[in-house]
Amino acid sequence: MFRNFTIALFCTVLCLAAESQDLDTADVVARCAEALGGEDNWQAVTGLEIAGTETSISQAQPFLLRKMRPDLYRLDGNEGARSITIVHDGETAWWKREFLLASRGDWELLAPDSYSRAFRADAQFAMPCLQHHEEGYDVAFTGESELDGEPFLRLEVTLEGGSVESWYLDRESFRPVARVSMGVYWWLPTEQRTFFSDYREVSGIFLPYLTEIEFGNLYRTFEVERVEVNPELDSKGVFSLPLPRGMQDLQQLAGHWMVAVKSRESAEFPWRESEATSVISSQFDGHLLEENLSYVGPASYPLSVKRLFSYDRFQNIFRIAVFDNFTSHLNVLEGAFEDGALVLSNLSTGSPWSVYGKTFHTRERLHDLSPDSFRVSRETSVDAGATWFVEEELSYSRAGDSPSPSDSP
Amino acid sequence: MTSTCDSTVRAFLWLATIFCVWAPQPAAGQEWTRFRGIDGSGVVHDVGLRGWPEAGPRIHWRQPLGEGFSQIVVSGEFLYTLFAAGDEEFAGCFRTADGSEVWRRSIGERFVEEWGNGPRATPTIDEGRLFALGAKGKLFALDASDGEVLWSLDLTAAYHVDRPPPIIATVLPPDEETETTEFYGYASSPLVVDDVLVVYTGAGDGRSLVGLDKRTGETLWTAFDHIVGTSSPVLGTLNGRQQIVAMLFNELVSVTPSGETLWRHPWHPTFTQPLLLEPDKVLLYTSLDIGAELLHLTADGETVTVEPSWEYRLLRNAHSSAVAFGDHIYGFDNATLRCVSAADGEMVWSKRGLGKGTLSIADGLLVLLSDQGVLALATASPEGYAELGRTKVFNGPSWTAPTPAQGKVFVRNHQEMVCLDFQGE
Repeated sequence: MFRNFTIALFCTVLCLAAESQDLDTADVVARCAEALGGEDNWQAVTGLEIAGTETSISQAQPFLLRKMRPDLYRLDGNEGARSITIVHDGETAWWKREFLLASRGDWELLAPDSYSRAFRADAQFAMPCLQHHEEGYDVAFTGESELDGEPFLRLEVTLEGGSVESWYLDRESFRPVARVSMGVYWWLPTEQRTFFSDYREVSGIFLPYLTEIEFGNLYRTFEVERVEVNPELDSKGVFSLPLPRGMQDLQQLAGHWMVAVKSRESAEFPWRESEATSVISSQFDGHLLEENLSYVGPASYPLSVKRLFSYDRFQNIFRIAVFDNFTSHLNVLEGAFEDGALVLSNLSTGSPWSVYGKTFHTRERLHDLSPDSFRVSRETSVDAGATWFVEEELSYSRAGDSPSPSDSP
Repeated sequence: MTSTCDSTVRAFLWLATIFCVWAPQPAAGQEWTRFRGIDGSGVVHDVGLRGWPEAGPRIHWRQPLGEGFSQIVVSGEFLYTLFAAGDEEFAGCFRTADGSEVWRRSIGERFVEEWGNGPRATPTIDEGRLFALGAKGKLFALDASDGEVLWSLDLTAAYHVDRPPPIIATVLPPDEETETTEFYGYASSPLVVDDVLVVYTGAGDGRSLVGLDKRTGETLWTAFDHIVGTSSPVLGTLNGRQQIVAMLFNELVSVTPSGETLWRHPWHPTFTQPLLLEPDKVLLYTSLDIGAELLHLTADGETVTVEPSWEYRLLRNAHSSAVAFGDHIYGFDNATLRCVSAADGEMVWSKRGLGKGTLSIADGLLVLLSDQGVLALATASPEGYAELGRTKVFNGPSWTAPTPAQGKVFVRNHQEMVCLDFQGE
């Protein structure tokens, strides 16, 4: 009995070994694709929403993974007790990590390039067994290889950018069971080992219901509880880098503007009217707005003004830095929204200008904001803000249907 | 004269030997007196674990316990551990029979951080004293019978500790909900060598490792300049010489019990324990993608040469240190349990499926506790991973290695401690 079993086992091992030697890359990839549900079924999958429990640093919490073609990926999960959002928006990657010291988790940041490539790989469907050429990576079957002493079929996957991953397929089922890749952990190149198990069928495709990741001293598990194939997802809302907090309401300022200018030298002087053009561009993914404005200012002086709009998330205040060619003075104004108007002054910024023994403080009010128009009132005070007089009124109207300029350096 | 003296000495030695043999000594497996057991190896014999009971181990008792990572130590009818309750940390004594509390003594303010609050170090029992180090650096010598304070010392004040490990202070953001995280907290467990209590202070400026008079707390010697780390000094005999070996953040050092430096070997920062493989080797490991390195020590008179023997990347211990048994090393590589040959660093077998975990070895069995609270027994054998059984003990995370003693296994997490009986009624 035992002898028969031994012979049968020997023959099975021999057959498997012999069979794997006869396989080429196309065979292995095709059988892998078939084992995951077949190419046709996967072609019908345009998106996935997967929910379950993630355990990270020993703490279990819910996770939500969403993927869409092409290359859209979003994982809302955890790093211990802190939340993490990782996104590939089709072009690049961004994340929101409470763990990051610099951000304190309050805002989204572009992820480093190395992570971006890795997240793009994570965005693929049924990797590495389907559409690998279209998805920008190459696959080569390298034969049988051991991982932790167990034999598997090994696929060598070369990602865009040249980094190489090893994928290990079960010799009988041809399903991926492990992936060994490289990442950066605590500034050191570090191996990441990902294990896939508990495959289950959903709408004709097979997905691992347990994924385990060993990375540095981190161990994360993802246990799937719900899968929705082709969910209705708002791709822009889910995957796009959100506009930064605070600057959201000001993004509508970006564009080309016609500006009607009323200015006067003092409260006793009459208003003088002129026209100007302004270009406001959104930079640093919306974190900064830059305005370049040219017009004839007080005393008929041709003015060129540059304004930088930003939001200070550490102090929760808006800040405008203004520089013009008349005073050659960098004026910094700070403030907040009051009754729908953004009111900023240099009363506490240390940047008023002084002449003839007087100190001139400035206050600007951005008001009547709408997609196609807004107004700026610039006021001056010579009594430290006790009283103000309006020096300029600028009325902005969007110039035609010109697109809003944006420039991310 | 010489002859008479020799005879007297011989007679005394005989009497002492006879007394030692006849005096009631606890069986090896009855005691677990400090971090990683009696000798700090994580291995204990004659515990009385008789495999996996048919119906599984019986929960002998289960008692609430405050937060903390401190291992449970056992001596006679009592067990001791450190825990947090309210705003304080405590050393506590409990009965092994039912887990009931005998006494508790405050050892300082509660340490708070996102990886888990409360004390980290394991207390040490020695000659009726319990040495306990709170996470904020308050060191206490307590009467083990009633918890009375024999002496105490604030390490941060006494040795002017003001430098957290910069790598940690830089990376970890402060948490407004709790308090500023300065470092991981004192996690190094005190070591008693004869009359000397050895403590890793991390003070720097020649005061990072100190030897204290265990009876009075008086400083006997100080040495080294390293910042705070989490490793605990261990005692062993290498190349025939008794020595204290300590991993001081990023350097392995060796001193005599009187504080004289024997040798030192710079290495990577690591949170794990050096594993002494007598007679002449030390295994180091880190959770970084570097793994383990076996050091071979060669002594030529007073000169000790330290040379790497082998390296093995896939033994990246994180919060649990490896254990040596026979000719093999057993330890977690992240969430993969491995058996590695001590001779050449070759992997013998690997086993996944328990997640991250901690381990001790008792009676030739791996006593494993996963970070998700699953306790398992498996044979500690190079023949392969053979699990005898497993049971879920905790629902919450557990990072503290199990304590096998007296036919039982004592485990804890941040909410409770549990005694599992492997001998049955």
